[in-house]
Amino acid sequence: MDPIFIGRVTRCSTRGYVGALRAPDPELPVFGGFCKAGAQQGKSYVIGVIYNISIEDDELTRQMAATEKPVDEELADQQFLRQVPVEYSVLSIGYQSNDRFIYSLPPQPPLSLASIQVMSSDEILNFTKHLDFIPLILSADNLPADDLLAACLRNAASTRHGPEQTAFLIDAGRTCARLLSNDLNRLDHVLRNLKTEAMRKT
Amino acid sequence: MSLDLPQLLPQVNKMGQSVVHRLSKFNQVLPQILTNLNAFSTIDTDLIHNKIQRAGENWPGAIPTDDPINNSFPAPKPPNKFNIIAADGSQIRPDRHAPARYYLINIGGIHIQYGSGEPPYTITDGRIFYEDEHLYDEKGIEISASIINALRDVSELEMLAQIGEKCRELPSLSLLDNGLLLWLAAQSGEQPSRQIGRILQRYLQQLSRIQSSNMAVAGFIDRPRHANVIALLHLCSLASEEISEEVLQLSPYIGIPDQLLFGQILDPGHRSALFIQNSRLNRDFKKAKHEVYFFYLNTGDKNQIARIEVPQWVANSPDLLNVTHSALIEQCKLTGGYPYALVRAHELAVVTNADRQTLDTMIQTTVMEHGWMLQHSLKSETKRWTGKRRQHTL
Repeated sequence: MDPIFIGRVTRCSTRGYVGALRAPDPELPVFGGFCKAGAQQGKSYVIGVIYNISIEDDELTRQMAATEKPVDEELADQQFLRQVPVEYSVLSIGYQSNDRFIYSLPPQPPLSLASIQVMSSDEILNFTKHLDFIPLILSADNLPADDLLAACLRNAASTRHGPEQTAFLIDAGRTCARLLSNDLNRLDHVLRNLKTEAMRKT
Repeated sequence: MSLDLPQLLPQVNKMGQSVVHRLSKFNQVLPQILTNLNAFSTIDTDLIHNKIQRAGENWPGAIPTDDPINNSFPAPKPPNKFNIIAADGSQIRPDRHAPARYYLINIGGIHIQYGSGEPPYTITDGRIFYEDEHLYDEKGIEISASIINALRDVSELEMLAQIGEKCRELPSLSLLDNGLLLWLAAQSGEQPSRQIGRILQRYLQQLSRIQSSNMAVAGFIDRPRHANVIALLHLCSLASEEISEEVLQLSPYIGIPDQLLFGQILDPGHRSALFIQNSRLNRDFKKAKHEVYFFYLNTGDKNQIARIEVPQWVANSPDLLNVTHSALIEQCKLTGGYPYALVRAHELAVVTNADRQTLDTMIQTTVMEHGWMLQHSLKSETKRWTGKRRQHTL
């Protein structure tokens, strides 16, 4: 399957990067989605999870928002054609080098304008075989870390089926319990959000 | 900040007083002008045309049409489905301090099919001109800014014609963000150069192309400073035997634009009567069957007065004139007085300083790949150094 590209890096640091694209697909990018961008002249990929998807406004957009009955064609022009990019932030949670996953911050961030691609189900499955990325999310400042963690773990669980999925979520829950043993309120919030629809029904 | 504001303050104060004085003078004269407009709307048209003839070819006034000059027309209902096409242009002029000699014309175009619910079609077409034949005329003189502007005007019209050829099925209006008379040709005097003549011919050909698509075309002039109707009212106030070039130059209404007058008589959405601009260039347009007519339009809730210029085949076609009037009012609703399609065409066309710098860098890189180095002039380089200084803002 061909890689799915979701825009390019506009600014970056070792802690994460910001990507931009012209208009979003209905499914991409999503909060908690896994993505990667090339770094070190193609020697590595920086792996991250998407948070804080935002769309900038300008005077014309605000003017249209204040209009009682916007014209359909002008609305479609604003939403699909105007060069007002969708921006999303990505938190780095590891990197891939020589076909190995390393669960720490990358030695270098991607360069600006590096293309960002969605990780495939197989890549997510392989990357999340180890849960050593969880501390990097829990320790992130100034972002909804607990919701982000729950969203990306649910996303990782969706690449597994049946008992494997349940086993993955239980394992992830245990790791969270160990890391958040001194903050039971946060742990409770993460665990509640970790439950899949199937688990809620049972 | 290089501007010494305290030093300028006395001048700013004086200027403020002058602006207030001018506006109050306008307000004093305006009732008289309004009275003239109503009074002269009923006088014999033959008499008016006789006076216009006496005023001479260079008289910069408005020639009335069959409409009474004080008439005001409400906007007709727009068609359920119609096309709006707009084009705007931007340019990079040759800069001797840049790494390479070239100029660029960038045209943005948009086609909105109202009533379809579909997103518009947009296009940006940039062209770089760098060969000697583009940069120099037959005498070896470098191309001037006004010629580049005129070539941009032709390209804008060309884009309208191209898009317009694909939308013959619905009522359509194509829009430009300036007057329809080619400005360069208007400035070129009695004997325009062959180069200007060729550009004018290309411009008129594009107008014919648009006409053959059965599409209206209009030039939209926001905040117009023209005073052609005011000049007509002054002319009408003179007895025939009084009319001479000297007397016409002593108008008591100098400096008062037509828009001030029509701001008093046009309700939101209404347009004025049609007029023809008296000029040498417009007579050339008439020979090509594209004589330029104009009317003033109150664009909507904000009571802004715009001047709309249309060719004779739009002015004389009730269908094309109605679609021009009604579609413009619809177009101005979102912004409060300026057509949406022109806002977007400008956005698609505009070339910023940052764009220019990026283009220069691309040219430098390409040449470097062939083993040559191109550089900015030292003057340009040093300006960039000082331009990066942090500046205090007010």
